[in-house]
Amino acid sequence: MDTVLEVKQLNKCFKDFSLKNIDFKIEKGTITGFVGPNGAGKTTTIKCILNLLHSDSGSITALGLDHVKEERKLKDKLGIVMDFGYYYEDLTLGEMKRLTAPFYTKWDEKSYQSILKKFQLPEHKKIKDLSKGMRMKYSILLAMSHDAKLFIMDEPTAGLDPIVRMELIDILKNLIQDEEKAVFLSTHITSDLDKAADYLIFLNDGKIVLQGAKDEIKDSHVIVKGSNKLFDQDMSQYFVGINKTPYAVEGLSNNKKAVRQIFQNDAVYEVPTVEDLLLYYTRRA
Amino acid sequence: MDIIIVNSAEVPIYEQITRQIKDEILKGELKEGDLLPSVRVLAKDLNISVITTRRAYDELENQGFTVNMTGKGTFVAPQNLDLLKESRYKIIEEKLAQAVDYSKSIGVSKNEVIEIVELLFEEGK
Amino acid sequence: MKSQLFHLVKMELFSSKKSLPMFILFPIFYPAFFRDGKTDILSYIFCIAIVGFLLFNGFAETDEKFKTGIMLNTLPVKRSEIIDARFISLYIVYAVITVVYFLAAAALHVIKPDIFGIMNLSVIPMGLVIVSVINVIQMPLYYIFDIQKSRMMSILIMFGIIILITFMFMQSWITPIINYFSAMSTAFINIILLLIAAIIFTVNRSVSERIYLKKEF
Repeated sequence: MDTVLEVKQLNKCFKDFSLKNIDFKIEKGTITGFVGPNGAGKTTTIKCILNLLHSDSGSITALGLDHVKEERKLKDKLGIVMDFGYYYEDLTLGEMKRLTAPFYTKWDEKSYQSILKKFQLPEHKKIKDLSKGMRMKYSILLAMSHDAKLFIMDEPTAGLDPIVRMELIDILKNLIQDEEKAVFLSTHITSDLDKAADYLIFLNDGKIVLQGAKDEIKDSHVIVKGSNKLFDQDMSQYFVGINKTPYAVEGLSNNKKAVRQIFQNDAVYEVPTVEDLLLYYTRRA
Repeated sequence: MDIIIVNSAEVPIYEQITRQIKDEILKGELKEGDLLPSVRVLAKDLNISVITTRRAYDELENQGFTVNMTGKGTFVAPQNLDLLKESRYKIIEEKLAQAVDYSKSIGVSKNEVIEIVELLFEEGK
Repeated sequence: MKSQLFHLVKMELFSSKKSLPMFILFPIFYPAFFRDGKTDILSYIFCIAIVGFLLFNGFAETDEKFKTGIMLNTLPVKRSEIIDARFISLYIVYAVITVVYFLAAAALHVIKPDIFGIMNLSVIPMGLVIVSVINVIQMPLYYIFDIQKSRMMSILIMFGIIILITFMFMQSWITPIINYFSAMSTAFINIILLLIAAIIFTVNRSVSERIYLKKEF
């Protein structure tokens, strides 16, 4: 079974915000980036998957298990990393581990020890005395020590400096090398996804606005830059969004063929970054 | 094997990989039976998505340049010798075209160029 | 799947390892300072009542501080197990407090037999009723509202009940009822008290579990 997570028509209403018809699949051996601006609903979606919030409608299945009916069995196989590590702060890393390890059927102490060494985490230190980067590494360490098949991470790289972020991205990439595990991570730091993601899901205002394989999305879209004189009203049908400056016009198109024919050599063409895609698809034009 | 990827709006990454591996096969730098790196390792080393490396390899297989043996990996397929010869000739032609263009522009005659070519072949021995 | 209760209880008690020892002070000082023959029962009741109130409060504050709601619910546990584990933790502490109380009282009796008598086991059923009442007020309120609101509401309700009971005891119609119960054997009264405690406990457990199951984090 290649699909490790399937969310179908997930809906969740709050007073001033709702998730609408969230639909996506995650395959094993991949890293899927869940991108969106702050407040788009990424954390809400993840909390629904984890049954921390109860969805109004829709179904969520992970690793072949229903996320509510077989919640306990499922969480045994999930590596969960929340944006803030929730631990008893006064305990040391070792003490906290000794309390959490027994909950899992497949706790791997050897694996824990070797990754602990690799991350260079001080087991005797209190959790409240850790830096943000070390905290995140600790969360990932615990998530990786019980043979989890699916990793769900909510903003794991927020607030971390680029070097630590690079280390974490490397760790995630190594995780999926065996083609069995999968990583689902939400973030608003798009550069990380440019480097590491296989699939992207763009979320805005509670709805998915774009999803697919990262490279395919990049191949099918193009940033067009040209002078003001080139752009007119008719062309907006080929563009997701257009940005005018006093000196030039820039737009994101999802129809490469058409814009090539229209502008030919009068415009400059660039591959959109994940950030470009995010900005254009989430701008209230 | 050299593979250099650029961010290009013209050529998708999978196609860049396909072309460059194809070139190496046609140039003879990759020989029949050579094992290519797995899609995973290639993706990791090139810092790109495994979906893209898989697509590149699928393309190579479709075009007959490689053969995928499940469990063992992707190997360079036996190449059509005529095709190989033809593409090699093409490369020689491209390189000579440069010399010829230059000679024309500075006024060196065809015979003088042929003399230089004969000297170069002599040096090889 | 195996029950995670043991690990949850261990987690709850271990994470409070700094604040729990403080509770031992109550059963050590109460027998010494508040005993006076007739007020045997009252002294123990007050001790266990205060412990009952403060203990749950302490657990609730830890919950708030470390967001155990999210922490525990990302672990492979059932929500009902989390509530059950809390009950078990509370009663373990009550049991320890009671044992220490009895030991302290016995020690005092040995030192000064003329002032301090031996503790009567009959206080335990009454104690169970008291803690079950305190918990049935505190727990559901805490799981519905946030900690500040629920604490305030709990205190108000408890005060209300104390005033109500005091008021009732001052009424003339209460005297025949008290006489009726006094005539019963201690064993019978204890059984009724245990039954009341069990009923209140069961109601609390089922209500709290239902609330916690629906809770959103």
